[in-house]
Amino acid sequence: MKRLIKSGALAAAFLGFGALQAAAEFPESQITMIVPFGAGGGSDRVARTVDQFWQQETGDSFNFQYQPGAAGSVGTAAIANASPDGYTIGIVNLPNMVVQPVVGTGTFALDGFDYIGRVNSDPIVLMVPDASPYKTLEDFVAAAKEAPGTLTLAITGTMGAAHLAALQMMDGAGIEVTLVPTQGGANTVARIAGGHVTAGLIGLGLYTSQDNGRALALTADARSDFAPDVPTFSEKGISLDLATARIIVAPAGLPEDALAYLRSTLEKVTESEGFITASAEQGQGAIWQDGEALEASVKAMEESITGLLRKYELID
Amino acid sequence: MSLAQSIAAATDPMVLMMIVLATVFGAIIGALPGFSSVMAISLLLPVVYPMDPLMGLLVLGSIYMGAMYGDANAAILLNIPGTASSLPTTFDGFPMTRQGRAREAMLAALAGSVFGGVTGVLVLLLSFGALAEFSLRFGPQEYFWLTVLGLTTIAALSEGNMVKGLVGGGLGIAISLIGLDSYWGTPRFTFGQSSLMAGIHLIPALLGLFCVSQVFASLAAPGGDRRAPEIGPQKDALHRVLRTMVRRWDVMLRSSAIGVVIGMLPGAGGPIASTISYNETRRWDRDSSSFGKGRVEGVFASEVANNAMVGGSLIPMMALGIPGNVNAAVILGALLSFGMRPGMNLMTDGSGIAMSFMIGLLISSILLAPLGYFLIIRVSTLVLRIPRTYLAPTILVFATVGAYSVTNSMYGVVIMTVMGIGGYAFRRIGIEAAPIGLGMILGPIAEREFTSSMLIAHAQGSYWSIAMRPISLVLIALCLLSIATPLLLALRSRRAARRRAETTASEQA
Repeated sequence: MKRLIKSGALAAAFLGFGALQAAAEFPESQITMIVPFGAGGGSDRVARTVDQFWQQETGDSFNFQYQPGAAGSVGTAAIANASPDGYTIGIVNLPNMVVQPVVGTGTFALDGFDYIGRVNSDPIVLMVPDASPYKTLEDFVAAAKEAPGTLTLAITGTMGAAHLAALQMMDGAGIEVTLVPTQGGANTVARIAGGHVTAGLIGLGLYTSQDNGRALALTADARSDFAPDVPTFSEKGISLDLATARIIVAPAGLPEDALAYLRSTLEKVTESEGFITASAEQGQGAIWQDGEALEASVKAMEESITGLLRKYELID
Repeated sequence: MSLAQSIAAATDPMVLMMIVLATVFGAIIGALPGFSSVMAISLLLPVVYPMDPLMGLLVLGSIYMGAMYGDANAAILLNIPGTASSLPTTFDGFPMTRQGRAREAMLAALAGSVFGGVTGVLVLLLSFGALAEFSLRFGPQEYFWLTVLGLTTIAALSEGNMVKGLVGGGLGIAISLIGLDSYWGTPRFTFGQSSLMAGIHLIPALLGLFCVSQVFASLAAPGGDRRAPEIGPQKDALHRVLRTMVRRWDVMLRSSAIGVVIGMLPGAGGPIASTISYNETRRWDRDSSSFGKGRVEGVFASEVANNAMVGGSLIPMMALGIPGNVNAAVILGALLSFGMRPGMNLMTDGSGIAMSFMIGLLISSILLAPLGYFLIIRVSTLVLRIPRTYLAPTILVFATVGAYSVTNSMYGVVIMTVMGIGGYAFRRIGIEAAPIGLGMILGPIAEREFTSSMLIAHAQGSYWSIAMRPISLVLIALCLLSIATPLLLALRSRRAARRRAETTASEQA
């Protein structure tokens, strides 16, 4: 009798295993997440947060791979060149990923990716020092119109989100200011707070994490919950929607079931309460955008950025 | 929460144990060339998040403190700076090792690190609000002059052969130009190679320049040099080090002040702090020409400053949310994710965590003394007993791993190898690694700040604005003094020689 039960159990186990095999679903092994920046940086923190709630959702964790270099373009190219089986994905930021192929520092193309989704978005804030005479965006624009080129605007790095937002702002408001690039967000805040520049552009997350200076306007469709008093540029009649965003992509040509799985899981992760709270603690708005909408907005961004850079003669 | 409660929180046995472990871990990471404290604390971030906020912050802070000390030991024993901040520690530390005074140099580094660490944290504790406001008065113009002041160290370093020193410094700056320029992304000296676009990464380059070329030099040295140098007796050395500390209180205080002030400036950082401190100590010394030949004050200057920088770099971070350097930035990240907001309210928010954190850091810097004395120095001196034939390949393995980890590719290893061979060749013709390294570290900062200053000057319509600012004027005066001192000294010794020659001539006549 005992033996019978044993063999029965064994058979059942085999049957069960067989059933599992037959319905073998994506994923069958661990997914690799390429981070095109160093460990411990901003992208890594977001990727680790995604990983944490991905584990809660599915029980699986990512295998992290760091491929820093050339402002992320090395790792981004590595994602595009990985085999499109769904087992390699990566986290990249906008607008850098769009800018790099346009200006020639990236060796990848935007249609070399399948877009899984956007996990967060950090609008950009125009900040002036506390002692600044400019109380509103209108004051700033009026002063810039009166004396073109004499106001200075600190931006973090060139060809990044702040630089492009600065160009969009100059273009949209019809003003000319002198751009002063700095190395790193902390440096930008110090330059603004010390009154060494008239104003500066920094991320909303960075703005809300300290108490220096005041924000005149924000690049987003709507006001942010993190800073409800700050008006948007579009409210003030200036078309400016550029924000830093972190998105998850995979090499183009994923099997359909893998793409569907990755997209739906990421949506569940990004919209989970835990992820939203954790992102807010990092000063980032967890603003989900699904893969298809994301792909469309990346294409639109490519067009507007190319136009802008041509207009300001930064590319041929 | 009262002060007593904050102290109690920081001296909880569990917290103390974590401080000890983190400080030792930091000291080890700091001592390994190619492994930076930033790497260590950012890798530990995920481990720290689930911890209690105070403990988490103290783990990160103690690693930072430990690393700023640990890097000195490799600099002294092997002439390999564990991090860029301890580059000036090699100037006198390694000559001391050669003279059989390694123990004295290591004790000086330890005592200096403790002194600097404690004063830095005390300044942070007592006056962080007022000083943070002061740090904001440094604009791009002041940063530019500060880096120029750092670069003038080259003149002092290469006394006797200023031309070779300047060639080395210029070479370092030229190497740092390779890649995309930091402003408009124009490729420079890339020869159409896409790998060169990323530039010459500083860490693999310094590993090549200091580690690899040093390994070559030690292997090529004639047989006599291969024997381990004497380390010197411990008791006597400790006595001497402590006596120097008391006698040269001026060096200790000045180096602490330089470390704190430069630590407060976002983007300036440890290498600038220790370099300027070394330079100033040397300049104000009556016998400045003996620096670089084994003066214990040189080790003090560098190590006091780079540990005082720890407290300094946390001042603007805690008071304004503006981190003084990358280490402080990572700690800021942790602070924010524990739900704490930097600002003056940090001290008054009632949780007392900020106060406990500073007290904990103070404990970490004091604990360096026994940990260093009984553990780190003892372990480190074993290194000297290892025959060169085993030590050299071991160092190369560590350096290669470190270089690889910076780029996660062979590119870092290639940079290291090329810089190692080049560095050795230059050393053979009398161009030392130190000026090349200084050029590579300071050149890009000087360029960046100069460009910013010029952009602002152009917008304001006056190019005088780069100099006509109170802090700038002080810095310019120091630069001039720094360049003039070696020239005047050279002139004076030449005149003295001539006088001697004349006297001898007249005696003969």
